[in-house]
Amino acid sequence: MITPSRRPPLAILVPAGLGVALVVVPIMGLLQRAPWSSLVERLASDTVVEAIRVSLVVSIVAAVLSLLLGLPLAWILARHDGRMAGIVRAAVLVPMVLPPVVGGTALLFALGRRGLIGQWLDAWFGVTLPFSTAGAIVAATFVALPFFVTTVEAALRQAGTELEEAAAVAGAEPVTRLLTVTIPASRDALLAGVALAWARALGEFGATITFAGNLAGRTRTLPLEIFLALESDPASAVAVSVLLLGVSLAVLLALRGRWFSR
Amino acid sequence: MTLRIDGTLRRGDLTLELELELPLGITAITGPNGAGKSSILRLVAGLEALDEGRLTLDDAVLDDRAAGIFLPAERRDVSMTFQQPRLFPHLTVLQNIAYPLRRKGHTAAEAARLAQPFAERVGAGHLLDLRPHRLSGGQAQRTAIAAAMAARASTILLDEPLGAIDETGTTDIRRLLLDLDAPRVIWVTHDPADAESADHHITLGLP
Amino acid sequence: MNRRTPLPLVAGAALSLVVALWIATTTSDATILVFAPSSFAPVEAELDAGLAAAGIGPVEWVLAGSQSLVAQLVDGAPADALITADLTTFDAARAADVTWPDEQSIASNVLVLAVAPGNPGNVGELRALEDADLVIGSCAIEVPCGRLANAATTALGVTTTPDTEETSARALTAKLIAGEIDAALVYRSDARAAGLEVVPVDGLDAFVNEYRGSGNTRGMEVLRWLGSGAGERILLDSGLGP
Repeated sequence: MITPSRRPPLAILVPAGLGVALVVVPIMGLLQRAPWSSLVERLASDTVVEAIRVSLVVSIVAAVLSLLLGLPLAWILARHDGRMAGIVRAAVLVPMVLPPVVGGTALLFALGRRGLIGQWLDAWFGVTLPFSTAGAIVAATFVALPFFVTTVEAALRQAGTELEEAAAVAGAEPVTRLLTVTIPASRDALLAGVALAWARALGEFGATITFAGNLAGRTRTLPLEIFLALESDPASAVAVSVLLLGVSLAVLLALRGRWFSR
Repeated sequence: MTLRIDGTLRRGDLTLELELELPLGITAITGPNGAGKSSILRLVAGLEALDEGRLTLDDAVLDDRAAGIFLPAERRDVSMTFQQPRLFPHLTVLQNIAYPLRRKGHTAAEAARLAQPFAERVGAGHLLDLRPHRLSGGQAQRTAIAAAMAARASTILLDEPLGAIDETGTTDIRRLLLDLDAPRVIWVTHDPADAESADHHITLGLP
Repeated sequence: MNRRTPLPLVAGAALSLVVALWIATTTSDATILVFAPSSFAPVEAELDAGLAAAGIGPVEWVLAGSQSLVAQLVDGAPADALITADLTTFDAARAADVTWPDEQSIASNVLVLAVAPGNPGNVGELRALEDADLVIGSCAIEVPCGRLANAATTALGVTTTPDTEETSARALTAKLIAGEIDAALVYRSDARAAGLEVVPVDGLDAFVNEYRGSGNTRGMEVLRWLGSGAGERILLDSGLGP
């Protein structure tokens, strides 16, 4: 008989430990370099406060857009298994594996002033997305949407069909089923999806700087502020990094309590 | 008021050739696992469509692929309970029972008032404000039965309603099921005693 | 023997790791590692050929924004020579003690007023940068091209309100090429490499960023070659100044 050992074998423990170290050591490095004594005043400086404002607007709107666009999408993907659904699913997930800079370039060629669709937006409505807060929101939504869709699709797939059948027999039309049963019953997953999308949007850098440029008060989000401050004021860059690290950890802890620990 | 199924259902490697009449009163359906007992209920409910043939209620065609007719579940005059009770996790017991009433256009307050007597009839009167995850299997199935009754459909479909109830005191529920005030009840069961108490009895063999 | 063991998987992973490390570390000791501004990118191949003909090298280039080059050196990146795109950054490198005793002036770069392909904004003079109806780009004040542009516009009495402050000269040029920006002050070398249309502006060439380099013995071989003769000619052809 094999007695279960509490300690995993060394061959597993060593690479696992290295994996943890790979993530934890850089965080410790950041914290150790942080200007703790002047942290608050650095974060309260005008440029940082402005970047916080832009970041909050961009990330919150991007999270809400991810919810509005991603929920119907996730529902369709969860209820269909055909070849089309597979293609759509792969397409939606592309931003997750694509380098954000490539995403930003693609957005520029699609929605920029000379872009595929952008030239018509400009000609017909006078709308130009690059260098505007709206452009930063588009870039952030582009990278955040897949995080919402994957999280919510899995939940809808797991929870949905049986309950939707019960609701149908009880007389609920498809949209009513979605609104009164499917969505409320998967509330936890929706919250988790929104939180993940928000955190990803908050940390977005590459697509934003490529597509939306960098202007204080309009498109300069916290990650762009960090990048720029690294050139001139590294201590402030670290201070803002610590702020973002704290927010990310808070999101993860909140998700763990609500979602992962089930 | 005769419900007729005359057609074929294919699900994976299972092919079900059906030719049966489901008259008014209580019809018990028995048969071994895999014979397609649940599939018959799902066909009647509108959760499943025949691959060939048709399902009719008197002169009305509910399902006929060749003619391009399929009346979806929410438009059929049926209610149903499942082997594993399907309660909505975000609603209380009373709200679950009231759900079909809400879909008929009653306000939340009205639906709750109308639902309450059904909760009491199934012996769930003391559970009204609980959420499903706090219920035992038996309590959950009682709630599901109450919801099926509250819908006041002319056909009630019961898919092994006593299977999930592991408590010994199922006598009252059994009596309740034999006394449902729906014109037609179709009751899938494993228990020969239930079948004997029903008005009609269909035994399925393995296809 | 139909039990699958993960042994082939583990062995395969270990083998590819070893191969990858071997490839990653195979730079011969003879290689001269030169950290240089991105504006060298268009002529990298020509420089390599010229250096080979002169019997110097082989040279491995690390091309990036000047500040990021200095930051990499401060963080301990190995190098034989460093070239920065302006003196401010070079001074910062010297202060951070990542330069060598020998220094060499390599080249210079000036700004030009470049416009989007086809000049959709109809830009004809420097004052166009004040036009709120045009989409104007600039380099952020934190990077060398931004400092130079700021000095020039201030001296020439033009107040710009850019729509974007790009974090590198090349990012700015890229947005001009894409037609997203109507006009911007960019390096002459970048504009020439991209084939951008340029609007002549009197007095703009008075503002010069000096490219300065420093290196160890082997690095200085490269820097001296760049500062004279064949190397200098290649750089001048690319739009840099003497």
